Amino acid sequence: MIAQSDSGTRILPIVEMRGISKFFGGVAALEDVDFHVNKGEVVALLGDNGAGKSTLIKILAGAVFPSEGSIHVDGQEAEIGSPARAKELGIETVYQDLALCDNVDVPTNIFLGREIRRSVVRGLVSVFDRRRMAEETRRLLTDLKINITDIHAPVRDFSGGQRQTIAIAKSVYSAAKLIIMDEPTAALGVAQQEQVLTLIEGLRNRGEAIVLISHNMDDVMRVADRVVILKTGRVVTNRPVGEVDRDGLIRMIISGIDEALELTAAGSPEART
Amino acid sequence: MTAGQENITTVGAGSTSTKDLTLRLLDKLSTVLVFILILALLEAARPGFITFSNVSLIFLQATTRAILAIGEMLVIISGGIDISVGTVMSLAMVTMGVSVIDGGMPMELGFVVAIGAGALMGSANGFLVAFARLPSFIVTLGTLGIAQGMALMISNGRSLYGFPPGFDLIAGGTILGIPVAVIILAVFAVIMLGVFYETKVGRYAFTMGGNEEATRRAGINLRAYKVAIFAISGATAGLASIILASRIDSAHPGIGFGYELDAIAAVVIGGGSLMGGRGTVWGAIIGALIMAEIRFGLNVLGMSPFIQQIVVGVILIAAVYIDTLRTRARIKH
Ligand SMILES: Nc1ncnc2c1ncn2[C@@H]1O[C@H](COP(=O)(O)OP(=O)(O)OP(=O)(O)O)[C@@H](O)[C@H]1O
Ligand SMILES: [Mg+2]
Repeated sequence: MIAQSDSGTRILPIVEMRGISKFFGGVAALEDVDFHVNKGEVVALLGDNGAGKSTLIKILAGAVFPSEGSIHVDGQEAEIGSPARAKELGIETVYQDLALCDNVDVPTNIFLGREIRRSVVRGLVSVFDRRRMAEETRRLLTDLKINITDIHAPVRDFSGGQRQTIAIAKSVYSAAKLIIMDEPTAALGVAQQEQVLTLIEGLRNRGEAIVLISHNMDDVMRVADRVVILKTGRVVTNRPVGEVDRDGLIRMIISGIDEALELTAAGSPEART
Repeated sequence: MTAGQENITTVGAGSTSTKDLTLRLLDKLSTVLVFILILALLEAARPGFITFSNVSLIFLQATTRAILAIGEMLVIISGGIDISVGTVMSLAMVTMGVSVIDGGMPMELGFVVAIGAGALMGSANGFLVAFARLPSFIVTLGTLGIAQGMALMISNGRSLYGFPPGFDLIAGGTILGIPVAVIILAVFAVIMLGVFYETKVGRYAFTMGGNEEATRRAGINLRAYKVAIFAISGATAGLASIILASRIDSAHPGIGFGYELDAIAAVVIGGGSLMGGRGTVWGAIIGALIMAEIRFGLNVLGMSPFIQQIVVGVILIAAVYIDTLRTRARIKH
């Protein structure tokens, strides 16, 4: 199905979106957008307010349906009709507004929707396996070097940074193919941003594929492999981080003109170097 | 007046720190203390009030309210409210009455009819909340009226007498000195503990009460669980109707109206939050005990039923006000 999957030299994208458009009434939130993520790649999705970033990732997450275009997961065309379907396909999303239930503890959040049960009376009565869920939670947090000891406190007791790392850990736990993060460091203090960025770096080193929406260019330069810039629903540029600098990114976000266009042929340059 | 501030932290699992445990214990005890305090006040006002028979009457009268409150608690934890439980109880009661007394149905089948009628009305609430996406307050306000009308229609507006002999033993009989109704409440409470903490319905009631959107995004089919939650509340009203009917050994189409107030007040007094996400089975029971105690006490003090209504309304508003303060304090910290 994928044209460029002809030989081993090309990488098969985990997720590829082709010709995606989305209209809200008369407003085009996205127009003919091509977007892909390769294995083990951190792609930063940039653009001004209203550029269409959240809409694009919501389509991947199954929360919004595209008006036009197709989505391919591991080379197979996929309809992502619901959040549950996106999860089935291995796409996990950490939303802008934290998707945690504040009133319950860390394991309950991490295992939300995929609780582990154990049977008490074989085949008849089963209960939640709280001990195992707690153990797995501790192991996960240790693996990700997240420093939270009292996992049985309700998550509202944690700082914004800790809560964000819990939300990210939750998506990691499902062994997702692709983790999408919509402004994971927005609304966090400096130290807490650092906490989250360190976690993202750790995930990158583990080879997780990530789409990161951010308005912070320093964060992008630090953790991303490739940047994609949107403006008013169209792709401005798509290139490896090595080909851009911080100020260039900001200029492109504002102007909507791909600055280094003359260096490479139009179209999408390859991501991995 | 309130209890159970941090008691659903881990959705049923025991907490780790002892400080937490002590706090939680105190929190639970605080409502017990309120119960004892009110008893003491009544004793002061009417010396000799505290007798075994008075206290067990309070417990007996609390059973109907406690059962209703446990079902109400589940709805309120999930972030909804069910104000139809009182008239649904009436509807379930007269449906059972007509089937058994007029229709000659065996009493045991009558129980199934009562619980089934309640569950059906509850499911209707659930469907409207989940699929028509109407606020549960409005939906259940509508079914409050509908159930009342249906109860009057089915019974032709009359009271039904003539349940089979022995039916009154549900409320009046004892086993080893314990009223049968209290035993039924205890068994029901244990079952509902299982529902709250060991089923997905219970667990997701807590999480959707905490953050409905997050629960939806976790890939959980919220609609199905909402229907289940309201169906349970309705079935609970059906169960309560059996005990109440046994206590009066008859069925009345108008008897349930007003019980929703007691149930909701019991939930809030017992530590449930109208904001959702917080509450316990135990809290519903102790809340109902306090409501029954207050009503019983007002009776003993010779207050008219009219004043009782006013007092219950004031208590409800006060309890909700305290809950609001508590929630605000929590958000601030
Ligand atoms: N549900 C919706 N109904 C109507 N218009 C919408 C809807 N969602 C998004 N839009 C519009 O689509 C455009 C893109 O919005 P989107 O939220 O994707 O932007 P964004 O890049 O995420 O912005 P921000 O940086 O502010 O988060 C905007 O013009 C927005 O108003
Ligand atoms: Mg956005």
